Amino acid sequence: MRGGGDKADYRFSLGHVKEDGATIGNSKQTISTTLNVGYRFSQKLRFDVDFSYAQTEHDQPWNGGSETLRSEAFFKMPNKSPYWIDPVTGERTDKYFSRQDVSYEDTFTVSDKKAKNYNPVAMVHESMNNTMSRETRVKFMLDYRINPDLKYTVWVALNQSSTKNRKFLPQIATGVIWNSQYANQSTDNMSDALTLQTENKLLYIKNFEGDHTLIANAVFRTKQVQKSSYAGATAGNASSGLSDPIVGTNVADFGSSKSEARSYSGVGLVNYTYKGRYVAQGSITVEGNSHMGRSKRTGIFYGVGTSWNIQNEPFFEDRADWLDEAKLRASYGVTGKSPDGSYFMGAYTSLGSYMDMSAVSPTRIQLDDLQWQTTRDVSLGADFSFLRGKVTFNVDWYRRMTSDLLQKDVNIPSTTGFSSIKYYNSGKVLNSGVEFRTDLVLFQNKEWRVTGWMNLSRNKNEVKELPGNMVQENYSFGNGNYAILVEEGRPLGSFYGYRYEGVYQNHDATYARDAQDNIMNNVNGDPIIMSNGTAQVYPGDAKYQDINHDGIINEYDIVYLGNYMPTLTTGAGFSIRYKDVQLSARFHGRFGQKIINRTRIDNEAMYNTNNQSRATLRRWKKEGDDTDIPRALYNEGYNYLGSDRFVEDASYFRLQSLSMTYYIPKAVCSRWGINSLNVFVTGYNLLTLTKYTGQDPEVSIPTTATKLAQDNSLAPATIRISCGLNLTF
Amino acid sequence: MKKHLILSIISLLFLSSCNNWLDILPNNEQVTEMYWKSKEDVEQVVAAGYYYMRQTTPYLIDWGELRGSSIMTPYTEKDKLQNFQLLATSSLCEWGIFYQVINMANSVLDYAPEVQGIDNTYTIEAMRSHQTEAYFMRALMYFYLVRNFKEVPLVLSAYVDDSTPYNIPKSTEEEIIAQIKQDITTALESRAAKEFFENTSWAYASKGRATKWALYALMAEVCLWSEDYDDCIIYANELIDATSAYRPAFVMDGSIWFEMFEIGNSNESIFELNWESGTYSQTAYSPSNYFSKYETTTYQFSRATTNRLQEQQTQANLYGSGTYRGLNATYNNTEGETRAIPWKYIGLQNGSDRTTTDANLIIYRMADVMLMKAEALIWKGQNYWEEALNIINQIRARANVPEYELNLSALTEESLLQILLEERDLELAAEFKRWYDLVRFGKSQNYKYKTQFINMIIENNETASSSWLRSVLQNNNAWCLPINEKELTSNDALVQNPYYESTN
Repeated sequence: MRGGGDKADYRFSLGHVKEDGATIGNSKQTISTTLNVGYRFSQKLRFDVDFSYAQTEHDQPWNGGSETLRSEAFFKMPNKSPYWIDPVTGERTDKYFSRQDVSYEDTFTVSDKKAKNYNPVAMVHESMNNTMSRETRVKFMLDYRINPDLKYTVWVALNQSSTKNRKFLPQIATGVIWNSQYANQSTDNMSDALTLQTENKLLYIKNFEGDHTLIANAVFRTKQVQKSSYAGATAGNASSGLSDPIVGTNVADFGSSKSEARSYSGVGLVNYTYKGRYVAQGSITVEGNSHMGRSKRTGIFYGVGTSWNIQNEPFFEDRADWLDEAKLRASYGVTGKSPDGSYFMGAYTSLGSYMDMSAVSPTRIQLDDLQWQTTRDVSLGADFSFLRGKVTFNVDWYRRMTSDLLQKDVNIPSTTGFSSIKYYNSGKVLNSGVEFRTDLVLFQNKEWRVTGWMNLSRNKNEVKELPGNMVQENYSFGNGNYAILVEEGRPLGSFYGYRYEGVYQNHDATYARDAQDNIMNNVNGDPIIMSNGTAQVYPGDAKYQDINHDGIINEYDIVYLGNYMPTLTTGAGFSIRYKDVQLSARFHGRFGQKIINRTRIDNEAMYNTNNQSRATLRRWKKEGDDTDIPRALYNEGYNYLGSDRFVEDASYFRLQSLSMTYYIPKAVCSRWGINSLNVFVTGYNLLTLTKYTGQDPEVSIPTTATKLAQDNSLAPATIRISCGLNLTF
Repeated sequence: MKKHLILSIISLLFLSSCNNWLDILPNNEQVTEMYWKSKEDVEQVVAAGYYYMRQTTPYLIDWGELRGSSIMTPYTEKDKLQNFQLLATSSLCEWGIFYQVINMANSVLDYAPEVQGIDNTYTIEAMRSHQTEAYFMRALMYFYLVRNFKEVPLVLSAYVDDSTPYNIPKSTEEEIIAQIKQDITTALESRAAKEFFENTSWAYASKGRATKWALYALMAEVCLWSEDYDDCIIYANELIDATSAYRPAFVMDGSIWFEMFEIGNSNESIFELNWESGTYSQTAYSPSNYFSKYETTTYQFSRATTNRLQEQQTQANLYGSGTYRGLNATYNNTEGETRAIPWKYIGLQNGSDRTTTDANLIIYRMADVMLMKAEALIWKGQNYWEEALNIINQIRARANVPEYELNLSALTEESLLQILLEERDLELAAEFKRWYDLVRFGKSQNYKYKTQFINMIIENNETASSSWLRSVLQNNNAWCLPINEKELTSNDALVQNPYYESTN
């Protein structure tokens, strides 16, 4: 709702959204409201107040993320019923069956915040994980025009958010014994944050007589965040109804924290244009952050840029009315990033006691030498626009060098008395690439208007300098392990493994062969049989390429398999309007990235008691079988080493949204006394073109250099259809 | 111009006050610059040093016993250490916890003088006394490291901030021993080492903390290791011939021998790590946790040692009323097992199990120091052997075991050393000294008795083949542990022990 008059105006909105997730037990409800009021005291002075409140209630199963729930459902044997079966009638009862035995399908465990080995049906229906978050925001703004060229704006915002989370893990879902810390465990978490932000801005725009325009801008911002949190977990509660931690019997976990962070930044920017053609810009930023150590607390960064508006050149001005804009730009800037938390101060905490003396020892080394992580960015670009906006091109080339990378939790020698330091500056990474975008009006007349746009971007990544204390991820020979190596001069995201060549079909195939394909014999004249690691190979076992022809498949046979960074990212869209009907679409695609399909590894391994996919029905069974799935073994063999069998190209092109809108004609609207009305139907993620065999190729890129991009049965993007109307009156 | 000057002054002031505004101290910790203000702060860090020392127990057990094979284990990872097959990737060769103790000691040594200047209640004598405790801790930790790794990085000042380099190379054995001796000498010369700790709430504070007596005992052992026999005898005599009322004394009454372990903190004990479960619930890392009568996968006496113990038992029964350091004292038998179980930390004199898992770990006691003196006397020469034998007989008499009556002129140095080693094995069984005794025997006087040392290992070791042991122990570097691989990757100034480099 909005309205107003001469002196004041207002905007008000109220919204309620309720959605159910793709997995059972997931639902979200949001209520939000905003109110803006603005009052003009005079031509020069204006005052605004913004107020907003949002409340979200999120219900999930105990596990939180749906990834592990789905993979747990994948593992379960198809003949293991989630409910007890009545022995007499053979009918399903409504009691959950969750027995987990060590010898069969293993007991319930939680590692790395992921739960394993439970009854997923019971988990989604009976467990509880309710998060209620509330956020309130108030903002006061003052806008004062000192004189026609100079304007002063100041705003102050106060933001208060609190989150309360209650979880309950029922024993009927996990099957643990009554005195386990997971039996009927209930958790209570509470956290809140108070943020105070201010900004002061001075803007000076002046057109000097003739050809000079000057824009100068000075901004000063401050931010202060105070956070506190509390968490407690108890186990052994009597029932899910009594799920408050006060009622529980054993305390499983308890913790609280409090922290504060402050930062400020000041920016000064000057932009000068001569004759509308030549533009030069420079800016200086001074930043300070309480997370940085004392000696390096203030960071000073700068940027310069220039551009040339060719279309305003006298040469073009009269002759080419087909040229709207032709601009070339170049810029160079330095920015900085500070660490995530305040860990630079050395601290002492209590250990316990020796005899009757209490013991206190240092937990951290003081980091006085911590630097800002600096990024130097050079970019060149060009913008062209022709035929009165019908055809537009934008091209950008950039080269971004990030140095003094902030490494987290770096190991230091234990001779220091400590095992790691929280942050350490080391390493250099180069990201360079090209971005291209075009907007086109394809056809236009009185009734029709067809427009389209497309963008392409390609980013190349290269590690220029390895961090000093980099510990490479240790590769150990074993099923399902891939090797990662971060090397100077190569991009991040490469992973290595074996080359899969199918299955040994018969005894003759298992003999080791040299580079000329002759069978190799041992000292006694008998042919050498290949071995996977230490285990001798038999017909039906997985065949990997023996790169060095030594008869053994081990670490020396590892080759480069792929990189999880995409080579090309693209987006596109079009919009067709015929009279009062409009059809618009948006596409998104990523090409060239290779990821590891971990779900397929788990479901084709035939190694333990997990449920397996139908692919295993075509496994090797007798000599002469020509297939790509090796034979079934139990807890032995190396038939699923990290190889290119499970590496898949995850390139995809997705129709993100397709929307049809009908604008009710003005005549009809005014008859009804309303300003405007339109109705729309939108479909999201309707079509995805990909060769990837897993659930969704849009796997997230890992945040640390030594982790792999894997698909662990990620919940796929949902196909949604929504319809609605927009009414203005 | 003036306006510009004023503007720049204002902005400078603004920036500096901005920086103060950004200075936030954490709410749930004490930061380094707020610490080190009172004598309680110093004492708490000293306590942290002892706290971490208790956490070294598993290493003291494994490093001190397994290779000597008086105590052996059928465990599959630990028997690698027993068989001299340990790799650099094993967690058994990690030294992190020792350096944590050293860091505490270094912090006390670096900061206590500063605190003494600030806190008026903190006298110079009290400060020096804390420093002697720190010197003892540091010297003891380095002594364990040098005996097991031979060459380790020597860290002598605390790590407080990131200005000190982390990558330090190793120092040689001679340098480390010299530093240890210097630490102890400095501590003793300050005359601030306490003979006795006054503590009304804890009666045994003197045995659980480092006293002057502990410094003497440590010095005697270091001198014995570095073959300075005269010095060893001097320091041992400081303890044996002491007259102070607070001295540790050799308990003459053999019938209360086991109370040294059952109750702990006896008069004979010089320094022992304390645990207490009743009031303070301190049981973690106590030796009681690592021995068990019922789980046969933990430590057991080897068959050779079991035979020695049982032989001693039968002899004592034959000639007298039974020994005080035999069944239900040093060892206990399980039905059907050929190997005895160490009893000192898990049992009571009447044969039943210990009720609390908080047995103390004796680092030094008088019997140990007396036998050190005897060893030094034997190495010194034939003139001193009679005195050495007297000491050995004194210990045997106390244990109610028949004394040796030997013709000294018919004995050789080797046979007398063997008698001494056996006596240490029987008296100090399961006190984590056996391996070091054997190494001293094998390496002293330029590896004089190396072959006999190897033979003794082969005789006691049950899990490795004799040809393996014979070939491995030829290389003197194999008597030491490898440096853990994680240390080598994070410290590029460190070089691995040459024997273990070839097995990589």
